[in-house]
Amino acid sequence: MAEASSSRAVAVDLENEDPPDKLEMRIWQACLQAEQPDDLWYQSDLMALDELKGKDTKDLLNCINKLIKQCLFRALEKSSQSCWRPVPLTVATHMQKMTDTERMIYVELEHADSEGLWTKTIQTRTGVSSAESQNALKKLESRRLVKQFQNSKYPNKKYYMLSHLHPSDDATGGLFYSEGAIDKELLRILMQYTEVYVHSKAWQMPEKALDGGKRKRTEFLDGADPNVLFGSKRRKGVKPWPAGYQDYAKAGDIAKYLNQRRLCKEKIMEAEAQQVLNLLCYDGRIEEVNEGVGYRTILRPLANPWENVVEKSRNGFSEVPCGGCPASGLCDESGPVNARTCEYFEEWLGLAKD
Amino acid sequence: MIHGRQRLSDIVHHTRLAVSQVRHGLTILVQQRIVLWCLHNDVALYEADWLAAYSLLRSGKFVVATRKRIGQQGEAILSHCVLGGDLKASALEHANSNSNSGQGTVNGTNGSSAESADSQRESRAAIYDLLENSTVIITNPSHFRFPEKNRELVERQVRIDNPHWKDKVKNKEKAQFQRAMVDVSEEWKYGSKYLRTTIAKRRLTQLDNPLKREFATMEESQDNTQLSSKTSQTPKLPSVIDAAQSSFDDKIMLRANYDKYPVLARSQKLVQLAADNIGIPTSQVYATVLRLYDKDLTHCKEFQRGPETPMAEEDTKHSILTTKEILLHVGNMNSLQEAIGQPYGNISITESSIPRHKEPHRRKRQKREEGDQVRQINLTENGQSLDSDSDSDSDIVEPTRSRLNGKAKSAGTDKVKPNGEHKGKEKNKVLIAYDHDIDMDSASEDDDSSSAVQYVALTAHLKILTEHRLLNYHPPGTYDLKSEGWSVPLVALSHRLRLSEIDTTICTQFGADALRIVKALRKQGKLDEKALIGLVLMDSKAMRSRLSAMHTAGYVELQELPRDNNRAPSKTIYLWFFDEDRCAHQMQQDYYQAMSRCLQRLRVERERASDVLTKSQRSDVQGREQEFLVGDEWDRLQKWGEVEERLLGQVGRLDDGILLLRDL
Repeated sequence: MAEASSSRAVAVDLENEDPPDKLEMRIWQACLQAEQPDDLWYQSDLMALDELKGKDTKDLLNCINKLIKQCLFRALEKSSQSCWRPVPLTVATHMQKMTDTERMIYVELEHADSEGLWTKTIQTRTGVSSAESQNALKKLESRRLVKQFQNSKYPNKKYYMLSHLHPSDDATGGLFYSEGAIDKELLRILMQYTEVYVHSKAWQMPEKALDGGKRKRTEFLDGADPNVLFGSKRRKGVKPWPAGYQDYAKAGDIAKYLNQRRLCKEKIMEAEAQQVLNLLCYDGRIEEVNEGVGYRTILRPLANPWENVVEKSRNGFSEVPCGGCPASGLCDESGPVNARTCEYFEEWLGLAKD
Repeated sequence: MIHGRQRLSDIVHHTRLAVSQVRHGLTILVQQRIVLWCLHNDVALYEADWLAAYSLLRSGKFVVATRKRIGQQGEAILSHCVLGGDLKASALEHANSNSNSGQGTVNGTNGSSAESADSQRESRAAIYDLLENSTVIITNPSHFRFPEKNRELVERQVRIDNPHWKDKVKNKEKAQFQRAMVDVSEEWKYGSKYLRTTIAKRRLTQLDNPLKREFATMEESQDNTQLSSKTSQTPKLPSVIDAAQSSFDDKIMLRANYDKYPVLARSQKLVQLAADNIGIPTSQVYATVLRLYDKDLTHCKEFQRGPETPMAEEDTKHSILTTKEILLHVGNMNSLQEAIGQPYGNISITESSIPRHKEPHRRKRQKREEGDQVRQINLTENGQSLDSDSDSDSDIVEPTRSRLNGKAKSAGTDKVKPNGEHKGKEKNKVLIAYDHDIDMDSASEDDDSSSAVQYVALTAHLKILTEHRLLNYHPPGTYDLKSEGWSVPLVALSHRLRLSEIDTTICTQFGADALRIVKALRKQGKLDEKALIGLVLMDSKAMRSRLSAMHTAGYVELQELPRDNNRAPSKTIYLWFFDEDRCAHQMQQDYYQAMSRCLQRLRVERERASDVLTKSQRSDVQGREQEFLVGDEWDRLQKWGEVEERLLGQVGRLDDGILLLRDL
């Protein structure tokens, strides 16, 4: 209760005073208007202000104390040297109305910026109890000063951040996430369009290959048909470019192309296009051409990741029932599971009685 | 095998057979190379060589691969070797010639003496062929000894040959010492390189002209491929017959070199890889390169040498092929020229597109450039500008450009990319230079210009292969090369094939998602779950289930890094990683297991069909099975045939995987 009444008293102070007349308010305004590295003011910087000409350190100390009391200055420390940062009036007004716990939490969240903080981290950093911090967060949330959001990396943890900020890509997971989970459909579309683009650049295509001959070749990308990627269509009539060819698809081109196609609301950056390219590389559908010249498609990819189907003919091990047999660890001539009684073998050899 | 190395008396004790029986059995097994023996304190010790026994599984495939390379004669000789183990060369020669001449006659009676002499000469030539290719090797005492005994003897030999290593090998010289050891043991195992080159030289000196020599070998190889498709009526191989006149020393014993099979199989796989990645025409070029390249390989050498003992410089030098060498062996050039994309597509390399300028000042330039023609081609194809002279000669090249542009426009269907066009022009410049050079030198214009065109087309294909990391390019000047050279990066390619086999198995067993995870782990190293999710963009649940399935199978590994001494799970970092060697080893074990299950099942099926089989094997039933087998017996026999074929075929396919995982 005592805390609440003191903060109320400060608020009243601010409203009753006439800011520009006071020395501290002039200092605060000067600090807000001037440009300072990191917005940090050391004692020497403050003493150099015009407003403090002819004043001594005692006056300065007095002013700073008052400003801190009114939440217009925030005391900080850098390299074991005291320094201060001016706080905008709107924020200061809010902070004056807060309890000390709320203020501490608010400051911590302000520091965390768009990354936000997990409730447990808030507790450890501020040193307040779980119940108290939860209470404070609820109050701040009801005043629309902070908001809760979903961190894609830790979907089960409660994260908070200041309400006017947007969660960083790191926290949301970036373009490929929606509401904390991977947007599979978007990813599929982006990957397929990227692959079509890479494919069209990587090989000399026969005229009709890309869209069934309905459009001119230059226009094909507008009506790109992902079907060209599958089965024998992928290989039909394609010819390799000569060595030293430089016009293979690169991340920059792909970002540009995907943006032109307007496949999603957000703008696709080069880094995200690169991420899609990496995924296609991991899926064994494209490969990098020497020393980052660009990417080209692999004509006979191993699998179709979107339908989880293996495209290529299988190898010896995958064809026998033992490949991927759930009981292969138990299978032994003298054991309960063996080649004599194996029902998978019966089926495979076509001996099973229907 | 279960009891390890044993004396004769031990074997008698374990097998409960008579001494004479055991002796007889051991003799056959030693001849068939399945049992090794050695004297230790004047007592003979015997040990089973399971790798040699395993390689018998491949004999069929080996013989077929040899037929594709060397022809029917070679195939016949090799099958004798495979069946008989170590055989005297002269006996082999006779056996083969007898069976050859017996082919065309009734009741196996020999044909005329002239025919028999002919066929004997043919089989002798085939043996030389096989020896040159190291498909067959001369038997050496080291072949019968235990590997560690061989190692001991090799070390002793190396120390005798190099007295400065007699007492102690310095740390600095360890690599050299290892190399010397490897060289000696390889010489013991596969015969000396000198022998093989002598055979090759002896054969080639039978022909006078160097160009003819090359073409003779080309014809021979073409003949051989034809042979593989036809069955009988062996045509004469002119280059081979005269090559080996002298008969064999009676003491020489020959045996099949099973280590050659992985070399042949690897080449096949690599050609398939090129076909899958680039296209059929380029893969044909690659097949030619590999055929020339693996001729000298006795085994997958680079694997056994290991990283500490890299190939010596002279070996590397020896193994580089020049474009001309390859050109002489490549058949069907027409498809090659059309198989490359747009810069060639618009500006195709045909004789008509090569302008023929005969200006005098150009001739001067040609004279200056004589002897340096290949070098110039190399410069232009690297995309660099020609030498400073090219500016002054721009008036000559210009008409060509306008012609080409006109042609490109009139073709007009494809989008012409600026750099592609530029490349096209440069290529054409090369052609002019080439064409002209040859005009100067030779009388038959057309032939040479077409060979120049072929040279450029072939070089283009070889460069594409280089870009796909299937070949190494050596510019003129390196290793004293006068023109461009090409070599095959076998270590890297073997590794690539192994990885592709691992990928295929993982993909088919655990799905495409698992492949994504494994590839990401392979590229990025050890990763914790969070980082991995960021890379593969999958649901954490799906990813965890794939990872745990692969972990159970032993294909991916998990490392625990405790952050404090308590090793509490909550304070431990878990890192997933993919260890290729461990995975390959585990997979190899799984393959072996699957293979043995197939063989076990085969036994079971044979037992089930034993009554029909016994009946069908009766001498009165053989040949008239359909008549004698009543009821469902005939169907059961048919079914048994299918099942046997399927199981044995599958064992062969599993062996293909073992080859990639173990032998490369």
